[in-house]
Parts: sequence; structure tokens; C-alpha cells
Amino acid sequence: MQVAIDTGGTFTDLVYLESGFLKSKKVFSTPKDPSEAVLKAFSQLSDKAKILIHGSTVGTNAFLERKGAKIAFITTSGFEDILFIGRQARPKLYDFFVEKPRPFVLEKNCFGLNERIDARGKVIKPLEPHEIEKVLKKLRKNPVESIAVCFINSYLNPSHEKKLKKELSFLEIPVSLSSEILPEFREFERASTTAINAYLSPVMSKYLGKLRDKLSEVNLYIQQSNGGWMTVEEAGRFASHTILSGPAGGVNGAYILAKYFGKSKIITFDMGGTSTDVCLIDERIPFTKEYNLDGFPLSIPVIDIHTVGAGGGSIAYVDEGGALKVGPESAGADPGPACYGKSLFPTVTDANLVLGRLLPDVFLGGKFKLQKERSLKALSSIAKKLNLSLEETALGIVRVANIVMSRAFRRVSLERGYDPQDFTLICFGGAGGLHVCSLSRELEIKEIIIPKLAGSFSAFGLLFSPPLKDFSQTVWIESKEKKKLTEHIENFKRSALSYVKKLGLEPDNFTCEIFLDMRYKGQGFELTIPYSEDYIDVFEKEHEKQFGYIAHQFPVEIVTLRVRLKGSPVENNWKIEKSKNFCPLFQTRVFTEKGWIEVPVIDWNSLNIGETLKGPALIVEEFTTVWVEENFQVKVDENYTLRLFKL
Amino acid sequence: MRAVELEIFNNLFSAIADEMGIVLRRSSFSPNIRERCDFSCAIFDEKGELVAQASHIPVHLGAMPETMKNILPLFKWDKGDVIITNDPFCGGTHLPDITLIKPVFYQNELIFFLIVRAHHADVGGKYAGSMAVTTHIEEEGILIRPTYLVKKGKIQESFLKDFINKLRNPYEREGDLKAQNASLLRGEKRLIEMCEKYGVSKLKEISEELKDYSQKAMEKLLEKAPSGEFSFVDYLDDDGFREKDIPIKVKIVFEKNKVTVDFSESAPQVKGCINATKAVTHSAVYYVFLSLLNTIGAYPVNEGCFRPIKIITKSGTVVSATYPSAVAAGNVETSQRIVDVLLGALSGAFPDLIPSASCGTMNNIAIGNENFAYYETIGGGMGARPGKDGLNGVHTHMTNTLNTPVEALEHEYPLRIERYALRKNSGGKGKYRGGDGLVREYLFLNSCSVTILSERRIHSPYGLFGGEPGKKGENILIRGKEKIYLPGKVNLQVREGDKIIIKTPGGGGWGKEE
Repeated sequence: MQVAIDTGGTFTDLVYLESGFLKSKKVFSTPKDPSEAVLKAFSQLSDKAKILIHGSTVGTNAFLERKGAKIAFITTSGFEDILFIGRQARPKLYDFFVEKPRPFVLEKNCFGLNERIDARGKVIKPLEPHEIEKVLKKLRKNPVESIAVCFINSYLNPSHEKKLKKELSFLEIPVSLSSEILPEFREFERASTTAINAYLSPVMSKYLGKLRDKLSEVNLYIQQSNGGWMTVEEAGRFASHTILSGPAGGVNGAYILAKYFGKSKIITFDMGGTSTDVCLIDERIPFTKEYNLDGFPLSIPVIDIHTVGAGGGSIAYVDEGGALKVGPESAGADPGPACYGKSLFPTVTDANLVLGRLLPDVFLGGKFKLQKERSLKALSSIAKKLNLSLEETALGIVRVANIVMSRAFRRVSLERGYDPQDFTLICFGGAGGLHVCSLSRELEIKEIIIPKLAGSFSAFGLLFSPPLKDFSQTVWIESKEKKKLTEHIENFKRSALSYVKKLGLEPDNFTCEIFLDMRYKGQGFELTIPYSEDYIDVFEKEHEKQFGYIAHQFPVEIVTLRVRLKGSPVENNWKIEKSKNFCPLFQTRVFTEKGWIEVPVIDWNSLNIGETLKGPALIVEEFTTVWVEENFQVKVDENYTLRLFKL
Repeated sequence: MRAVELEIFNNLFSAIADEMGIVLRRSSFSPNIRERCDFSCAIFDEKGELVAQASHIPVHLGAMPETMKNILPLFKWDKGDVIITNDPFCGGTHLPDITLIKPVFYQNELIFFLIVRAHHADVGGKYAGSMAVTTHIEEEGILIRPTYLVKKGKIQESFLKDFINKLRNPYEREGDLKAQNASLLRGEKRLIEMCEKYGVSKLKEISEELKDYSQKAMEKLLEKAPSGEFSFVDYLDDDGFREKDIPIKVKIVFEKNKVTVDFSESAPQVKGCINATKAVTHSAVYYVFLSLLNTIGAYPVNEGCFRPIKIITKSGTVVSATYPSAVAAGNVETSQRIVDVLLGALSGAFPDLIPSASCGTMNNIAIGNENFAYYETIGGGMGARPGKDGLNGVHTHMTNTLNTPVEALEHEYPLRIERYALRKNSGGKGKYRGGDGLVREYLFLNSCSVTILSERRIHSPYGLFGGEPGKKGENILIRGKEKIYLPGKVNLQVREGDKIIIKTPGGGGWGKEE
């Protein structure tokens, strides 16, 4: 049996297949030691699991809290400060009090060695033993837990980095080489990625080691930010690849669900407490190499998810010019929105409660009663300032939150040359159901899909994700040098396959995808193009789509080569059992732009497959509420999935 | 529901300006644009008033209203037109900043203008990079008086060919202009979609409201200042020729919710290229007040912010230069000094909000020969803030361009960077320390011509309230065993094997060290 466990901020979710039925368990997360919740969830299984795919936030949290290892950063002499200089820009322009991102390496632990490789990969100053001895002496005096090495131009010639690693091996601590982590040009991005990896590797290895000791009878695999899993050893070595594995699980889940309903163009919408994640999928799950982790570039392939600071807990206020603002400050889960009873922050959740769209008695299946009177109180000061009624104020808050979220949708669609009208919205995560109709109206999206297992969707995505390993190498090839390119590709493919074989995986079952990072010679950004015979045409078409022009006469170059090896996931044949009803049908009142209207409250569990109904309606379930606006038709499809169509 | 609509439309407009920037940056060719983000995008209404802008480079953004004011009356605007100019004396900044302006029509009604300004790596002239120590605008590069790049949808091929063929890298210039034009087209498409969705009258109404909203916010800020007069003077090192210690003086008068900023007492324009145009001076003033505005909230930047601010400059001075003076460094160097002078004066009115002087120069270096032209700027130390140290090695105030990755630079040009590091202990001491400057060391693998335009090599960045000044910058040429100190502004020929070391100034400290 295969099991997936996803560690989230509040809950740790476990999902598994039992005789074709998808089952889930939920336990509270244990932030101090996340493995406790994992083991607890796992112990609730009656059958023995053979394979466990795990999505963890250990790496991300260690970085955000700067609780990684004590590391040394070794580079070419003269460049010791690159992690502190970054791109020499400040994060905000019109702000005298701006701060740079919080560093995670101590200045005194950054060392420069006298060596140099030039821009063609030629050694012009060899790395001498006495240089290595110099740094060893310092490390002996002041030991560290992990080391990152990034020499200038090492992406073209890794020999100095490899030599140093060999000489450091007796220290028996992890050494991350930039030429292994990210053999691509741009030294700051490569150095930052390598240092993040070094910073997180000991933490991740320790955590995974513990899990593996306790779960010795299970094959443990770890989810990565590219949407696939790798072995425990590999995840320890490449800890930077485990960042964002939760959201990656969610996107993978949406992808699987979309396929199930025959959709290849979707936009995922995952609204949480503090932020909203959006990802556009056109045939394949997109990845980016420009991810930014709390101010530092992490340039490995990461599922391309755009995040904006608007969620259920986002706080509303009126500024001095008299405009209504929402977020990015959030009340989070603790103290949470005013209606949770601990704060008086007027949040988006409070606004939904005031509008009657969130029902105080059915939230979390009625186990946690929301305090509407606190929401009203929290909103009253805003209402007074705006001279609006409480309901109008609440409606305003929801509209502003929607516009902030719709900006994320624009980013991934319109700004990249996609028309949202051609896409289906897939909505999961706790808070999204309340906003999805109005967002789809704003973006003119015609269809929305909301899965029944929205509450544990990331774990669902993990369960069906494949083993996946990405390789990249900057090559600098002119696009017309086809022969050189094919040679490079063949060599690169071969070494990638043998690498995967060494991990104990079966490369025969793997498919190999090749991508080229291409640009017009002289540009500074590459477009990643799937390799095919007519790769130049494909590049130019994509360039036109994204930027609006083609420059036929201009030379094109291939900057970086990418190989992605992908195994096959478990067969995704699954069904969901009908659950017991938990709330009888009743009428409630909801406030809309037309004023208060009568709306039926429908228990999602009472719906049958094939059934249809028309909005306005509230469809409720333990972890989700869907506000179906007027002019939307709902169809209950396979596995109790809700499909909403704009009439 | 005005409060809600303000926020909604503010988001919609600024998303368009942002998107224009993304298109330009990702598809352009000049390292200045693509790697260093030396460009700006903005939306104006049919009256020529700023409606929205993306946060790009402050020195451009504040200057664009001046550009629009100058250019609007010059043309009979038609659908499908694009005007091109880099004329510093017509609301421009300096010659490398090429501006494209496009009117946006909806159902035959002119409703908006879009502007994209970008710093091109070369616009001709005597020296590669078009950023050199010169004395006449015509020496600095090609001056494009406002003219059609596209007329009624038709590219003016003869103009374009004629222009780009005079440049060192016509291919790159053409690519950048294509990217700029693509950005305008994207903006136009989005504005038309907005018109279709919300209607023209609604958009007009809401853009007026957005301006009033920002005006109200700016007035709130100005009300917080004590009424009265605040003055300050600081000096530019030199003009690259004989003129030294060139004063810039400001007198700021607060009156209720308005402010007057008067530069009349500043030095007359000079021979060298440090003359700032009026548009650049306006940018510096707007930058300072917008940063102060930021302390009371995040407001949209538009015409409304500028209404309560009156700026007085005397034509023919170093802060309001006239034709044919050289202006290449007015934009990059003098603009920084104008900010320093403004902050010095305002530290009397807003003692808790004003930082000490930052590095005060962009440390411009232009390198090239017959095969290439490359230009970059180097950050320095940020001035200490009340309650916080200054940041190390960062671009401050009027610029925020990124550095070019060393590996990108070495791949493309016959250069090697031997050192790129923080210049330790260059920040001024104080209760809060000024940030440290940077050191960048260039090794030349071929003979090249080099221009350095830098400041704060003679006058240090000042500290406030007892903080010590930051260290001055240094420019050094290493030729064989010789070490030659170069002046702040210099054109020179380097040979293969020569090295140039630029050490940038630290920021001033804040408060007495305890």
C-alpha cells in the first residue's frame, strides 16, 4: 500500500488508497517536532504501508526562522561578500527605512581562495594546496556544520570545486558544490542556491534520519519543489529541493483531477489564511528557475506558483487618503480573525461571516464556533470611517481581497500571453470556495472545479506524484549548431540516467524530457522550450506569445540545457465514498450587491452524483464552504466533485 | 463605495504599468535594461497628468510628468502613433534615456498616453556608452528631438535606419526599441480592455478620484511638518574641468498643507556634463517627498502627489540647464546631490524620518572600443537612519539598478572582474553607522576607452545629528607596477593588462557615537 503524508501549518494530512477508495486521516501538526504528527498519523493505519511519500515543511521553516546549520561559504578570493551584496539593489524604492533580506551566513565564515577560472572554463590560476590549507586552518579553529562552495565560472569547469571537496572530505560534514547544485551562470544566484542547500542539508538529514529510524520497514520518499519525489538520501543531500513541497503537492493534485475530467488548461486557486497560491497549467506543470526564498534566489526548478499576500486572515484597514486596504498583514491562525475569539482584527474571514457566507455553526463541522458578534465589532470602526453600513463594509473588504487575488491570476495568465477564458479554475484550500465565483466572473472564466477532498488536497497530490530528478547545465551553444547540440544532449542524457541508476531507481521506467533555455543573443532572460526538431520556431512562437514580437534576423542562442527524468506514479484509479450527512438543509440570508437574499444551505454530503442545482446557494462540508453565486449552475460529478458553470 | 473603488482601480492601473515593465525587461537587449532594470513605465491621462506608474527608477519617474507637459502640445495625436525622443531640454534626463510615447484611443477618442523610458547602452557620440566627460550636448550622443517613430501604425523606416546606423551597436538598439514598442502595445491592449469592461467615463472619473486621493494623502504628510523655512547647501566635487565645489542650495518653506522648494540660489550651469535638467531636479524632489509619504502608508503615485509641491528653479543653473550644455551626469550624479541637499534641509522638519547622506554618486563606468559598448553603475553605502544602521553595498535614492553578474559580463566582454566586495569601515561612525561602500576591480583583456563619472571623491557624504561622514570614494588605475589616482570624472584609454579599481563612498553616520 502507498501512503502520502503532507505536513501543513495547522494539520498533518495522510491520504491512502484502500481497495480503490481514497481515505484520509487528519491530525494536528506538531511544529516543534513535525515527525511526531507524521508518526501519529501513520500509526492510525490498520494496514501496513510499503511506500510513504512525504511532503515536509522542515526545510522551508528552518530557513524562514533562520534555524539552519552553521555554514561556511567558500568562493574565489575577492568575492567573499557576494551573499551580502546580492544584486546591489534595495527591495523597496521609496522607503528610507528599507532592509535587506536577513542573512543566514556569518560574514566571518565566508572565505575567499586564490584561484581563478576564466569565462571559457580555462584555469588561469590553479587552486594550490596551501590555499586549501589556509581555509582548513580556519575551519579547525572555528568548526562549522556544513560547507557551501561556489567559485567564479565553476559552471564551466568544476575541477576546483571537486578538488576542494575531496580535500574537505575528512571533516565528515556535508559539502554543497555549486557545480553540482546548479551548474548555471550568474554567480550570485548560484551561490545563494548552494548556500541555502548547505544551510538546510544538516537539518533535513537529521529530520529524515529520525523518520527513517522510526519507519524502518517503509520505503520513504520525499517530495520536492519540482512536483516529484526523490529518495531520502537524495533529499538530504539536495535539501534545497524540498522547499515548497506542500504547494507542489496541491498543484499536482489539481493536475491529476484536471486530467480525470479531460482538462489540459487549468488555473489552480489555493486560498489559505495568509496568502493565496495560483498556478497556470497548459498541458504540463510549469516550473520556474527564478524562485525567491525570503529574499534569496533559489534557482532550481520549482513549480511556478505565484503567491499574493491575501488570505482569509488578511487584515482590512482604511488609510489616510480614505481608501480601503486589505493585507498583506494577516492575523494568521493565531490569534486569527476576530471571530476566532482571540483578536479584534477585521479580516476577510470576518467579512464573509458578516455577509452570511460563512456559517458560524458549521465551520469545521461545528466543532469550532465562530463568534459573529466579534466580527461585527471588528468591522464597525472601518464602517464608521467609510460611512457605510457593516454589510457594505464587509462587501468592500471581500471585493478588495478579490482584486488583490485577481492580480495573481493576471500575473500567471494575461502577462504571459494566456487568456484566462480558455482555462478552468480548480479551487482547493479552505477559504477559496467563498471567493471563487466572483473571481471567475472578474477573469471571465467559465468553469470551476472544486474537489471533495479539498481539505487534504496536497496529500492527495503527493500520493500520485512520480519520482522526478532535474539536471541542468549552462552550455552556450548557437542555435544553428545542431550537431553540437545533439551531442551535448546525448551525453547529458546518458550521465543523468546513470546518476538515477546509482540512486537505486530503475531508469528503464523513466521518461526523459529535454528543455532548452533559449534567447536572442544579447537578451538577459531565457525562455525554457521543450526540445524538438524545430526548436528555433518553437522558441520564436513562445517569444511572440509572451512579448509580442519575433526578431527573425537575430541570432538565437541556447544558454542552458535541462534534462528531466520522470518515473511513473502509482496508477491513479480512485473513488471517494459517500460520507454521512452532517447538517440538515436550511435557509439562510446572504448579503450581496443586491442586498440581503434568501439562500439555501446544502450539505455537500447529501448531494448525489449527477445532480444539478442553481445558485445562489451555500454548499457546506467540514473543511470547505462554497458560495455559489446567482447565475452559476452546479453539477455534481464523479467523486462528488462540484463543477460550477457560469450561465 | 468610493473607498473600495479607489483600491480596485489603483490595482488595475498599476498592474498595467507593471506588466509593461515585465515585457520590456524580459525581451530587451541592453544590459542596462534587462539586467539592471534601468527603465520606467507610466500611464498618463489625455490632459497629460500622471495616473499610474510602476516602481522602477525614481530618476525617470519624476521626470516623466515634465516630459509629457513638454511633448503633449507638439503633436496632433493620431491612432497608431509613437513618438520618440531623448531630448533633455524637452523634459528628458540625458541622451541614453530614450523615451517612447504612445497615445491610446478608444472608439476614436484619445483617452490615455503611455510612456516607456529606457537607458540604452549607447546613443553615439564621441565615447562608447555615451556617458563621458564632455562640454556640449552634441558631443554626448545623438540628440533626438521629439519625432515620429511610428506614424499611424507605420514605422518610420528612414528615421530608424538613419538613427541606428550612427550607433555602435545598431542591432542591439533596434532590439531595445522593439522591446520598448512591445511594452507600449501591451499597455494599450490592457487599457482598451479596461475601457470595454468599465466604460470610458468611469475610468475618467476614477482617475480624477485617484489623483484627489493621493493629493489628500500628500497634504496630510505636509501638515505634519512645522511651518517655517529650512535651508541647506552641499557641493558637487567638480565638473571634470576647472570648476570645483559647485554649490546646490535649497530653501524649503512649509505652509499648512503645502510646500515650496526653491533652488534659485544654486550655481550657474557649468562647462562639464554635470548639469541637471529641470526634469531631473523635479524627480529628485518628488522622490524625497514620495519616500516621506511612504512613512504614512502605501499610496498610488500620480499627479495628485505633486499638486501640493511647488518647485522653483532658475533657468541656466546647474539644476535647470539649458541647451547646449552637457548633461550626461546631471541625471546620475547631480540628481543624487539634489537629494542630499533636500534631506539635509528636511532633517530640520522631520528629524525622526530623515537619513544621513548616502554614497551620493552612482559611480558610473562606461567601457568600450570599436566592438562593444558597456556601461554600469556601482552602489555604495546607505546613510544611517534614525534608529537603524545604513545598508552596505546598495544603490540608494535616485537609482536602483541591479549589478551585472560577473559571469555574464566576462562571457560577453573582454573584461575580468577581480574583486567585487564590501569596502569595510567606509561607513561613517555614529549612534547608527553609515553603510559600507563597494570595491570593484576591472582587469582589461583588450585596449578600451573608459569613462568614469563619479562624485563624493572630494566632499564626503555628511552625517546628521553628530554622526561622522562616510569615507570618500577613490578611482585608481594600475598599470604595471604603477598606481595612479584618477580624478572623479575622467576619459582615458586603457591597455591590455591595465586594472581599474573603483572604491565607492560609505554612508554618513547618524547621531553621536556613545
